[in-house]
Amino acid sequence: MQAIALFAMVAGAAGSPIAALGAVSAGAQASEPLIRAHALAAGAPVKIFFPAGTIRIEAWDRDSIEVRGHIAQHERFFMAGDVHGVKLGVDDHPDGSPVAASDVVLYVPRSSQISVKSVSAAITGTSTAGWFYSVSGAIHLSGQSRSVEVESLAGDVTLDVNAPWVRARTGDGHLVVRGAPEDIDAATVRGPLDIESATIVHGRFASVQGDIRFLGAPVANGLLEFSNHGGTVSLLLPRAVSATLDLSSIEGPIENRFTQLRPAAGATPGSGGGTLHLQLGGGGPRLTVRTFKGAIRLQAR
Amino acid sequence: MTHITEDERQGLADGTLNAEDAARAAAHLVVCEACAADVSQLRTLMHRLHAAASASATLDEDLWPAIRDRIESSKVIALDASSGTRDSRSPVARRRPVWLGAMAVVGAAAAVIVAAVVLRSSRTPAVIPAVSVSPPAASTAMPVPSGPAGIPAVTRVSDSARAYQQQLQQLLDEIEMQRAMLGPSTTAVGDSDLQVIDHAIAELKTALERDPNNTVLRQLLAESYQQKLDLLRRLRNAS
Repeated sequence: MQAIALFAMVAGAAGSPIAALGAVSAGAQASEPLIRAHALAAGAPVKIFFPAGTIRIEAWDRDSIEVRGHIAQHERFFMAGDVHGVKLGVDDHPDGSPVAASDVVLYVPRSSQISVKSVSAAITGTSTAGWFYSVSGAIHLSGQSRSVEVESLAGDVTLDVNAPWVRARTGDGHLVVRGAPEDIDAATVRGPLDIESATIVHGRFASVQGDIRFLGAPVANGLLEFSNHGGTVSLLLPRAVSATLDLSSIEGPIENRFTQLRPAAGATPGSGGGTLHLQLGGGGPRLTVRTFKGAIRLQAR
Repeated sequence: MTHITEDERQGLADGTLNAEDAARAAAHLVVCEACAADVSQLRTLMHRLHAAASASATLDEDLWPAIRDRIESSKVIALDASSGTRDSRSPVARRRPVWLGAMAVVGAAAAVIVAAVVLRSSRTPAVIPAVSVSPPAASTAMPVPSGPAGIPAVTRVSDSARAYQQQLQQLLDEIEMQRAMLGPSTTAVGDSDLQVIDHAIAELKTALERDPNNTVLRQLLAESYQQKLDLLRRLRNAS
């Protein structure tokens, strides 16, 4: 059995900072498992670059950071910093060649401000806050969080968080919003966007070509805006919902399967577009939908 | 840790470093906050020069001293304390004639582009990116509504359009500089998504020419512009 490279293990309090971690930031032996740890103050930033493989980040109620996992052969793990902040990850190749997949689990203090960037690596975060970025890797965040900002060029993004503020972007990936966010701004370019939440107070959802589907009951006084250029926007609302809806499409059809009311014709004769204003129940939350040529579908669930 | 050289920093910032050196330097930036901050400062400096109306614009003193001090420490001849402008005859300016000359050309070109954009935007309000700024498209032929501070709304419209164009150009410049460091698949995805958004913008602008007062179209156009900015930022972050 290979030896475990235990470079530093500190289970102490934040008040006893270890020597600058730069002293132990030498690369891990390529084929060996990895375990490293040291003290980290509450709220300290944790900056991660992890190109390929999987990285799981979990919040814990300790004032230390710990990394466990396996680093691919010939790849170099780095970790540097001190009690006030840490930078860690796997080095990129100077010649631009792909980095082999590694797998790590990272435990961080609950209040840490995470900043993680991956290329193809899948990122999973539980009860963590900060900025999460991938080029093509999937990102899945869950649990309680202060704020979350997620960006991907083409990766799938799944958010199942309870957070006051969430911002999410992906290009071609599938963006799913669940959990209990309050203020959220989510958008895709071509990927589908699914929202399944009944806690959103302020929401802005947009796509260029991806279909948007909202499945939930808007909260009282909620303000939700949906815009789409070519994709469909589907609102699946409870039959007993109270809401004011303003639906507008320049060229796309508006399909009202909720009431008997038909949309008014659009400004351009023969364009196929139209507008529909609806007040359901006692009004309350306001939902606005705009599309250029994408269809708008309203239906009960 | 061996830091990248001054020339490499500046070459990386202005995109003149060859691909191999750029990739090596970029890898260093990932692990070195000090060098990354320097290169970022240099890029900011360059973009401010891009946005400057004249080639003799004063550099931001918040930004320049740190860079100048570093260069200064490696020189024999001391800089004059007042040499914080590009047109000064400082030794630094004389030592990097190609870099500064290129920036002067870019600065002049940027001034022309900005002027063209402003002129165009004042004639074509369809390029207004901000939802909150929404005088009717034909407003130049109608009484100009005033903003809360008594500022004519049309002024805010051109400011908004100019700010957007500057932001867009800055991001495009950065991405162009970083293109060599982006993988081919990343570039392909980015280019493909940009085409999708640009196509949407073109469709919306055509529709707005037919129906310039349509607020829904204007809001959709603003949203598309925002999507483009977001995508460019994501692409910039990929390198």
